[in-house]
Amino acid sequence: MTSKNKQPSPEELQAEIAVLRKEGATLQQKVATLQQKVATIQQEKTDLELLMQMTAEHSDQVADELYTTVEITQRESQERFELVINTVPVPIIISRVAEDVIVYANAAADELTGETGESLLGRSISEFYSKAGEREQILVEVEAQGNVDSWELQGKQNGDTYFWATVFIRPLTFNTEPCLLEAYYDLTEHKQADLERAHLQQEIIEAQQRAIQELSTPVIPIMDRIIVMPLVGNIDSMRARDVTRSLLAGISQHQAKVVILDITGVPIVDSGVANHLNKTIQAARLKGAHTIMTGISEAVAETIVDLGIDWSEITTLSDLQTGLVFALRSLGVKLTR
Amino acid sequence: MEIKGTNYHVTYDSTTATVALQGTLRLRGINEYDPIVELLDDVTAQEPETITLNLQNLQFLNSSGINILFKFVIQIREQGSSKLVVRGSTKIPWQKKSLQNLQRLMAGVQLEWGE
Repeated sequence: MTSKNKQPSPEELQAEIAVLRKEGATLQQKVATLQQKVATIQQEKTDLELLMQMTAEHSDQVADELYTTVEITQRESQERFELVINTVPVPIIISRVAEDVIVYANAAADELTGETGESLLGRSISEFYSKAGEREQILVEVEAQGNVDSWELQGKQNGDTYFWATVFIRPLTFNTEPCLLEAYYDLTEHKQADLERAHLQQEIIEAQQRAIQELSTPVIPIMDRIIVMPLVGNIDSMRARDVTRSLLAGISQHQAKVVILDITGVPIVDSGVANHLNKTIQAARLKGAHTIMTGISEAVAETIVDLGIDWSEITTLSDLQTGLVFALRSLGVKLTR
Repeated sequence: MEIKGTNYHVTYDSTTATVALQGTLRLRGINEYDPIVELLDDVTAQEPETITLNLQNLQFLNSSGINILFKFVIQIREQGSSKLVVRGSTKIPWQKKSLQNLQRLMAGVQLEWGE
């Protein structure tokens, strides 16, 4: 018989049972530990899922709040922008840089350009510039300077009339697009006032010139058919021509037969003036009037002699009074004391 | 103990065991929250009877920020010896839902609402 077939003794069986019981207890302990670990992992899993869910909820909530805040801020910003832009009586136009398209214009801009409603929107701003290439010049200036102040331009109003304005230009981002803001200061009235002022000034100058001319070549009808032209100051070629013109006009107007040309107030007579006066006297003769020259000063007389001017054919008398007496007599008027 | 950032301020008053978070907390990622996490860990480790978390002046908290608060609550729950009181503001919209959620992590969280 081998030990394989030997039946265990009761002691051996009890010892084996004790070992098995001990192993069973250890296993139970391990199971309990594992169960606890599973419970912990289960809790952690639950916590993690909750954490993810609640973090996502928080993110959504915060994102919603931010989005709402952004929307409100944008709306308020837009309302504030429109309030300011539409309250100021300054024409303002915003146009996209890339396409030269008007994206915003206030009521004052409509008035300036003669447009109504929202008809400016979507149109090219260059349509309203009188000068071709103005837009390109402005863009170059903005590129170089950033802000552009006091850019003077002429614009079209109602398509057929014009306005003048000085423009203040600022680059800005409008609805996420690069744009230009143009604020116009209407100069049309100033320009018109300037033109009227210049016109008036020209009229005044012309009137003054006429007055000066009349004063420098006065024709005085002192009696029937006798006129006197007293000359004062220097006589140049231009004034000499005016003298001739006025004298001939005076002869016609007053049907004068005798003209007294008094040069008492003329300090210098040169050869040019003497020749002009000669021509004047000849022209008066052709018109049927006799000319008497009076008031030749000593200096003038010396000059005439020195220059060899021949006035021998001209009636020259010392003063106006003598000349007047001579004139009356030549017309057959008898003077009695 | 206190931590100061550009737009936020975190303090711990050990006499009342109150952690107060104020301002706008929008740090980038969990790592940037490390100093705050350390502060909260210290508070939990001290095992005060009641920990008060005052958020009444915390205007904004990003998702990384709420995540560390959730973990803080779990830590107190696991620690098992401290009660937790959380003070929120009815004027700060995000707090209503997110602070109520704290009770899902720890049933005994006491919520107190002020303005």
